Amino acid sequence: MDINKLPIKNLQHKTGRSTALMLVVLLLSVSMLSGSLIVGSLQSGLNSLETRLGADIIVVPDEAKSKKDLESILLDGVPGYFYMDKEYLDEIAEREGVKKISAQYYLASTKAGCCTMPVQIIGFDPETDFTVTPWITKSYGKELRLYDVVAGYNINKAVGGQVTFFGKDCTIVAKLDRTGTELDNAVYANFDTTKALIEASKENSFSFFSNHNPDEIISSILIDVEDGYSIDEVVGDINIHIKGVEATATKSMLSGVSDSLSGVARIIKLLVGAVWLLVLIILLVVFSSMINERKKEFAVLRVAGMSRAMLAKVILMESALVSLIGGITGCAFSLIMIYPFSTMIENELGMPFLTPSVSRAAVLTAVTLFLTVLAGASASSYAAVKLSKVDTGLILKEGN
Amino acid sequence: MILKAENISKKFPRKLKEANFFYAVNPLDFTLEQGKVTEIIGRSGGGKTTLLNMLSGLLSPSDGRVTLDGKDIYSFTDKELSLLRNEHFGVVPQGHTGIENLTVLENVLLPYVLYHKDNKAEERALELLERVDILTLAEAYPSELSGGEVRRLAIARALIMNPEFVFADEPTGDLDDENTESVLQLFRELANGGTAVLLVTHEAEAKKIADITYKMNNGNIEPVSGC
Amino acid sequence: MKKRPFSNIALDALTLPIALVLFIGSFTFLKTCPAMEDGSWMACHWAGQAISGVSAVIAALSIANIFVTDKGFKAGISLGIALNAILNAFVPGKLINTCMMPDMQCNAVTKPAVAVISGVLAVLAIINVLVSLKGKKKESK
Repeated sequence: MDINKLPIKNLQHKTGRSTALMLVVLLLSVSMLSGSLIVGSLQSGLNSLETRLGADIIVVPDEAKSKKDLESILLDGVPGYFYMDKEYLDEIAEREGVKKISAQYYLASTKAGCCTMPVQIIGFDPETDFTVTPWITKSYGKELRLYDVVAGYNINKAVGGQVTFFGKDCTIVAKLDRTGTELDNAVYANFDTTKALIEASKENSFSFFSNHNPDEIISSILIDVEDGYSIDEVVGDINIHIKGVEATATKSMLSGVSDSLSGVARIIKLLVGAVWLLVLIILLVVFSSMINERKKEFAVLRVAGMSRAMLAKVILMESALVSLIGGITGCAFSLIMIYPFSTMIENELGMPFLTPSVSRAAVLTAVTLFLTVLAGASASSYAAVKLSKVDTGLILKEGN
Repeated sequence: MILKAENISKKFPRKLKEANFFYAVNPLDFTLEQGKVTEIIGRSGGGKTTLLNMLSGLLSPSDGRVTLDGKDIYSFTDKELSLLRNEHFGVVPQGHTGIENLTVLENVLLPYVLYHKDNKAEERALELLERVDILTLAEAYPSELSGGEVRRLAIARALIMNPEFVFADEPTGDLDDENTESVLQLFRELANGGTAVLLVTHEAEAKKIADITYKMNNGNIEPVSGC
Repeated sequence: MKKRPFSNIALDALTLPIALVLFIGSFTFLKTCPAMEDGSWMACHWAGQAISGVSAVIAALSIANIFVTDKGFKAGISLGIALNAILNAFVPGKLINTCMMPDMQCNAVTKPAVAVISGVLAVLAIINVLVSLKGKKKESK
């Protein structure tokens, strides 16, 4: 027999008590890890949406519908389209404070052969684009040719696969990293491809493009603001001086999302805090009453020659072990509930949801485990110290 | 080795507020000699257990000192005292003292494994279990034992380290006549082998094997003569 | 000895409801995408059918396990549950295609949920195999 195994023997022999304690501790790790994973995912989702949009200002046609369409493309994943005259591009390019400017086409495919859902096609101008190209360079590295498309992470086809839009076969040459946003469902192509697709759609008599000449229209204009100019000033300047379009700061367009995000984050933090407070109180009470109940057992250990320090070690090891097992179970549960179901959570929340990377999740898990074990052990330490201060003789007498 | 109590007393705070303290043990001197069975008899509440606990290093006296070869054991650090108790004192406490989560054999080995990493004591543990007639229960857990069997387990556990001093508080309390006889015989053999044995009991049988008998009443101790 | 059967009972009692949730779920909250407007089924439908079938086998084995007391027999049935559960986890997406877009019901809900629940069942069943074999060893001793 090895005395270091005493804590394990104690836990094994009292299966019910150990399981109950483990379940209480499990609440700590589940609440902390899933809370921080969800908040982290929401934050990185919002960040990735901002970076993927990559522009300070987005200009859309000045119709109430256009702006709403853009928002639903970005946030709800409803493919849409709207168009304005190409001349606005040159007009806006001359405004003060505009550093980079580029136009995009939005095109909604009809049922794309493979599946029931229409796909958002986003066309960009390789000459001027500063928003999508960096991403494409990262994952593809070559220039896109006609009928080459770059697919968002969610498009369920591998690189080299074919997707058919308006009867034209397009090749997926690259896939983008996951952003946790609706842009994961989009397909990116250059202007030549989008124009060809618009022509094809006309041939296929899809009515919505019929009165547009693809060479004269664009959907939106993306602007990068010169350093030293405020984004809001440039937005105001465009809105005042150029009629027929509406400029919006990307940040403010996403402010609805970031507001509800900070709301959700606050609620989660409060909940985690409440759970921790409650569980710590429960643990404190449970450990003191448990140690009180086992006084006689501990007194016998002292009679056998255990020092106070050794006895305290046994008690601490026992609670730390229970906490470790509860912590590991809780972390496993949280990871299993969040990683495989991230798409479902994203759909349910209606917010960008990008789960943290493996290394970050590992760090979060380690921190959670550490804090959980620490909490469990310290909850028992008070009772352990109190017990070890009492003369063994007194406990033995009391026990009779 | 000689264990001496000099002018030790123990007072406990009263639960009622009228008087502050009452003496469980009034100031007294006491010596425990090796090779002898010393017996303390008396009614319960007389202070016998309190005295035994103070002598065996489990309860610090309110006044006075307990010395082992002239050194005050309560001046030791907890670690030193624990080790000393482990090596030299074997205590059989009152009541049910089996550790529920350990088998009978593990219970008996407990004092040894506290400060040893090897299995050398196993043979002696099995011998002791045989001596107190519970060898067949070696792999059982205390919850499966009768009161008398647990008591004999506690005796075997107290003896595993071959202590120079054995303190037994009502060691024959739950035992039938046959086992009482056998256990008392064991204590006698220990004393014959040079161990100092202190028996606390309110029964008369132990008198047969005792070299010295004391009677304790209301915290006072006096020798009983004429056995 | 006295304690051994308890872990078997606990494992059986835990496995059966999970297996039933999986089986019933395959027709309700775990079901794959609905039929298209023209009435034809999408790829994931067949994965859903297969999940129902495999889950039915798992549920049947779990029920059988409740009544079987022979340790060796129990180990065999539990192994069957474990292998079926592993098979089940690989049905959606790996053995039978699901739909193209990851945010559709079959990909967002069915696939991960079936994988997780089947995974839990497989782990429980493997523990049950080990516990049963250990019990068998003890019995023959």
